[in-house]
Amino acid sequence: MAKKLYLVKEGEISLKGLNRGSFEKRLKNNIKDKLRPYHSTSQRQKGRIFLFVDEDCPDERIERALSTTFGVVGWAEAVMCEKDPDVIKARARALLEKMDLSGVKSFKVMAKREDKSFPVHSYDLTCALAEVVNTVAPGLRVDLRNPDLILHVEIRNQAFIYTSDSAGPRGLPTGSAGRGLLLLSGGIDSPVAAYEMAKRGLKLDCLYFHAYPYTSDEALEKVKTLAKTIAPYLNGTRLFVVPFTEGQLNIKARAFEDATTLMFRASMMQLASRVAGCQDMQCIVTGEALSQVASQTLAAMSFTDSMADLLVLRPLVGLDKEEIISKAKKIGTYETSILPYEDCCVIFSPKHPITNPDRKAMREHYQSLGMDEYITKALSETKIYSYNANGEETGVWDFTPPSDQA
Amino acid sequence: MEYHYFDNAATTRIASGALEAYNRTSLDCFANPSASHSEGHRSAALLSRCRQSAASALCAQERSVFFTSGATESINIVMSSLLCSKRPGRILISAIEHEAVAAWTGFLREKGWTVDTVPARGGFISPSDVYDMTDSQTRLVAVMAVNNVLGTIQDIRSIAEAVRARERESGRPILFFCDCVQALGKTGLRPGQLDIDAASFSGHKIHGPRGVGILYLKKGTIQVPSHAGGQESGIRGGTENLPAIAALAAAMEALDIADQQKVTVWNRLIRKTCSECGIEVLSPDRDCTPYILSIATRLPSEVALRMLQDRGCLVSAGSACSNNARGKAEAVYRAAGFQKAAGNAIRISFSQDNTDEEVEELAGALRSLVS
Repeated sequence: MAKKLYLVKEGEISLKGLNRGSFEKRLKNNIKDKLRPYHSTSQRQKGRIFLFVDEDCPDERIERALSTTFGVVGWAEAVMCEKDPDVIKARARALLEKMDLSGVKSFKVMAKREDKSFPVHSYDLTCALAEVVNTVAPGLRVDLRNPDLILHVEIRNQAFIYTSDSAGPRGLPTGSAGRGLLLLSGGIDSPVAAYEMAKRGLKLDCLYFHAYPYTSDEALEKVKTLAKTIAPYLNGTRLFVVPFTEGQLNIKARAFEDATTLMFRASMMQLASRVAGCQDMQCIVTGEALSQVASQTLAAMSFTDSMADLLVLRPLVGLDKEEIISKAKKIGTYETSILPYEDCCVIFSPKHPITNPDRKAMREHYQSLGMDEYITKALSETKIYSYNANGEETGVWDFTPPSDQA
Repeated sequence: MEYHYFDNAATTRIASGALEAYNRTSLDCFANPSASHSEGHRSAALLSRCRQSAASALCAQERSVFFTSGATESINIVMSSLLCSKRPGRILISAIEHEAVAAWTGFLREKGWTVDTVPARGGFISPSDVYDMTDSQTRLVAVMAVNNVLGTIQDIRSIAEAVRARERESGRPILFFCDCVQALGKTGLRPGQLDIDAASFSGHKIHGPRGVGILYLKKGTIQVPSHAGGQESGIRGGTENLPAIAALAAAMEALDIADQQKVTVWNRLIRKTCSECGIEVLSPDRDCTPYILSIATRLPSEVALRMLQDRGCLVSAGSACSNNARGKAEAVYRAAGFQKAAGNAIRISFSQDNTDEEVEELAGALRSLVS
């Protein structure tokens, strides 16, 4: 089948040393995952991936794949041809003639000669192609600083010609930095936290605490939609849904009222640690921002941190709400996050929560609540929903807690 | 799972007679009542019979009965008539009006109208408050006959008298509008027997179909922005929804005030259950329809709703959990003075379709909420 060619620019990966190959391979596979069932092949060349995709794959699908894959700095649909100046000019002309140039007032040609054996120098090639542009669209002005149109030509093993260059999400390929477990609520912050960590290459699964009937099934649906929305950035994800009503009722019945939120957070950390421990995950990720709410003060986070058995990462800790909201809008989770289905019932929220807990006293208080039994039970009733790299639900099954696995 | 439906103030299941009338009319009498051919005349005759039947149920003259697409449209016709006034004036609405009326206040204010709200202590509107708050500038007074959230029955006769007294003093007419959606079939209220200028009724609250309602206009006319189509004497244009109108007429004929006795028994049973298990009853004992009963448990409304649903009983939540989507009913509870209970309120509403066994189930489910 005929193929469409896309040129994918990688950024930070090209700075890597001996392990660069593994990053590039990961990036290539992440892109290919999203294009399935359409067939795609790729070639890697010095900071570029040349991606050949089945011609029947819709452009939107390819654009969506490339714009949600971390590690991609920019991408463009390209034309590949033989390294002959006349052929290059002819193909460039054909490419320009296909384009809608109305509204384009200025242009720039950027020629890059990776293959120095190519006899025409970059400057001369630039001039030759500028003439082509002038023939196709006479009257365009050259503007080297802020052109409306850029015609790129790269001379490698072949010549590659492309015009527009779309920005990718940058970062490192998801999965290149290990695995983590995201505490996903229905709020604005946690999906953004997932995005930020996936951007640094972390492969993430999500964990949601469901307290039916104190929280509604609509709240669960909302979280599923969020997981679906961020799944492309995470290159697919799993959502662990933990029924934690009994645990929360136990906390409400036995904990000091002003400590209930902290005790809930502590049990979340303990439970998440148990899931992460058996799933080969090295960290827990939360959407907490310093002092945003009572459970996110320095002392409170320090306490909840101490209840986790592994590293807790809080990528949004230094951001304010407006910054988080603008990121949530960018990744498309904001509209879902603000749906009015609360992820925690008011009856579990104390009127005056502790903001400056004593870590030792809180730990002792937590120990007195006997939460282990509730956590074990909740884990045994946990369900896993899985989503592929295109955000499609691919299945749901029961979670098998570690003790049952042996 | 089979459910016991206790949300009849929201909508009811269509009665078999009404459904039959709907089907029959759809198949056998589908011609346009405005058509000049014989089938059109047959449809026009049926429409006329339906109007007679509805008018007699409301103790009204036929020329006062206009078929609409529902109570909201009936309300919209009345409220939009204000916009035909030469200059804006005042309107007075009760603090517990349905959203369909209350939602007009913002727009009318934008257009220069002054909107006053009569307080509704305990869910009741005092005629003397209505009198005190009306003046020579008042063009419309809107008080609903039976509140859809609490079930309180207003003293419409005395309120109408208060409006008329003020009217006589100022020498300028005041349109007294009464939203009767929950009154129809739940009380003996007949607009024709009261001094009401306009009233709204809905089909689907009385076991009729959706998409049909009635606008009652005492004088048979009102200023409307458009007379397009000319149907319903130009008050409500558009081809008449004859199947739904026939079904509405059938549903109105089938209304039986005798049903109220068994509903009263059920209402007492639930009230008793509530008092036994410490659930607060918000609907007052007196001057309240037995069909609607608002109560407040110690749980947030939606949580109680889900717990009752899991036990097979469907009720309505008085408030929405989240801060950014407060339930419309919550405003009514607050206006009636139930600030504390508003977030925990649920509304139980009965209909003739319920059974003794279902109500026993509901009582059991309520008991289990507090156990």
